[in-house]
Amino acid sequence: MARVAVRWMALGAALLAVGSVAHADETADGLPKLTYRTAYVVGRNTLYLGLLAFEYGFTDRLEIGSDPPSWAARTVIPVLIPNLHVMETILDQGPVTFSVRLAGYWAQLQTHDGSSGSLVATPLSLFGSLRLWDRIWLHGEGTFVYVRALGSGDYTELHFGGGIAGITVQAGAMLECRLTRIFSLTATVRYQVYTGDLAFEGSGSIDPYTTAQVNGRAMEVVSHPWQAIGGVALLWKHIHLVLGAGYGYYFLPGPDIAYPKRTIVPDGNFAVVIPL
Amino acid sequence: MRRFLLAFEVLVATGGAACVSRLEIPAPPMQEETQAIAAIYDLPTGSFGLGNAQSTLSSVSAAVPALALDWLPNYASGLLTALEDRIKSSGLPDNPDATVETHYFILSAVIALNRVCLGWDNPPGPPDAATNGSIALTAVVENGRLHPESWGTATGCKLNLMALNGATMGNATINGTLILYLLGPLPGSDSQARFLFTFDGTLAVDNQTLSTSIDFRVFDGLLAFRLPVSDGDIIVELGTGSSVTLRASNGTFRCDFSALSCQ
Repeated sequence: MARVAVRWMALGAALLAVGSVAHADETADGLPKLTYRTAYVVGRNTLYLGLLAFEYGFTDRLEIGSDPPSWAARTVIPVLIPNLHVMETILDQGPVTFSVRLAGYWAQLQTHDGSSGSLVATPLSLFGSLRLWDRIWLHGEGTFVYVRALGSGDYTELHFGGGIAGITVQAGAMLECRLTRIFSLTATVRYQVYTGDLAFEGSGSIDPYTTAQVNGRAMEVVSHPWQAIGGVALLWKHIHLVLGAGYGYYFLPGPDIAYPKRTIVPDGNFAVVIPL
Repeated sequence: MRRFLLAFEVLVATGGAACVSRLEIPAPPMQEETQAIAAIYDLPTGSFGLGNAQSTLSSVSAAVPALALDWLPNYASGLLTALEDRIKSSGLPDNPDATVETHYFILSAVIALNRVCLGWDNPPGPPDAATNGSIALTAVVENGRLHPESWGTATGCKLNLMALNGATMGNATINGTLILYLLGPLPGSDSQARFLFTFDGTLAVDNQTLSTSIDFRVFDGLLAFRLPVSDGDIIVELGTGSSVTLRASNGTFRCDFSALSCQ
């Protein structure tokens, strides 16, 4: 027990001592950091081109980015989803790092009959990463997602294959075990603690004499979707690869809207990391 | 960090507002009474005897003008087709009898429809609600199912009947409460309409009050109304020409107005 405590203190002291000179994308002792769903940001003047997110690190604490899949959704559903996210590290002290991430997704619906609507999703997340041991991390996440629909469009076309969300609160955790310098095993769980109704409203003219106003709400059939995933992470200097699979409900990366059908859940990301 | 706190405050404020502004689903009025009337159209309570054919057909003749059946059914089904337009474009269910389509989520909604009436003069330009009057109609979707009853109020609703249907002379005024009880899906056109119409108020044409309380049923273009008899109500279904069908608790009878006879 005493040896454990001594190792803890030694690790903390070392991290505190050299933290200011270490690169943001590496630990103080030179291990690459996993930035996928953790509190770690990509680092100053670094471009992170991932399948799930393009990000740029303005400083060692602040990054800004956008999700290509949401833009690409236009090819399969009749919506355009411009989006942006900002993430800032608010605490980086020894083995503990906390970051806040705010994202905005604006889905513009255009239907064949000319009606229109929009849906705004703003996930606000608090990420915490704790280096428990030399090569073991615990990453935690709490996310509040606010979604609001406006307009008179057909919201069944905005459900991303079924899922739609109002106000949701989600919690997630990932255990990361670094087996070699670049190779990690990961175990991830995610649970939607609270699911609120989605409110929508719209008004419009039917003919020169007739107007109509619609006020409504959509309730998710699955109140508490969850997922459990096992995976691996390979963190080369310029390539980050995350692969995993599990079971539960699939959470759409970015807006964190759950697909409300229990199934095999894939997980993965491929990113090229380019220091500028 | 400050900008994140500001963003969080804005988010919580708007999210909090959404939490408290919960959707209030109004209860349709006169539900039991309306369902009871709809049931009478299916199973008439009054009886008919062939010996009463002449007097009954005279009563039918007297009742028809007060119902404004030459224009009011089409005007009522026009309200339902407008409702169908809005409900379909919003992805809401349009059939009260359909099984609930969840699409993995369950919809509830209140649809408020406002129609400015044609007016008597029907001048060019945008319709004027203050002069022409209007009809406000409410429909409800609750837990994925369209409620069969839509209801509303006609306030000083003025209609030039010739402008309305091109065949009937006169200026009509409607004041009162109306209920449209669906007997099928919301219609995309008048010919598809299946509904029961009830009205309480004042229905006047050219300052002559026709009625204060009426109901009739429209079913695939077939018009029917209730006719009180000594032991209940029989249903009168208007056919083409002078033919009429009387449905009573003791049978169905085919009648001819011109001959004042039934069989």
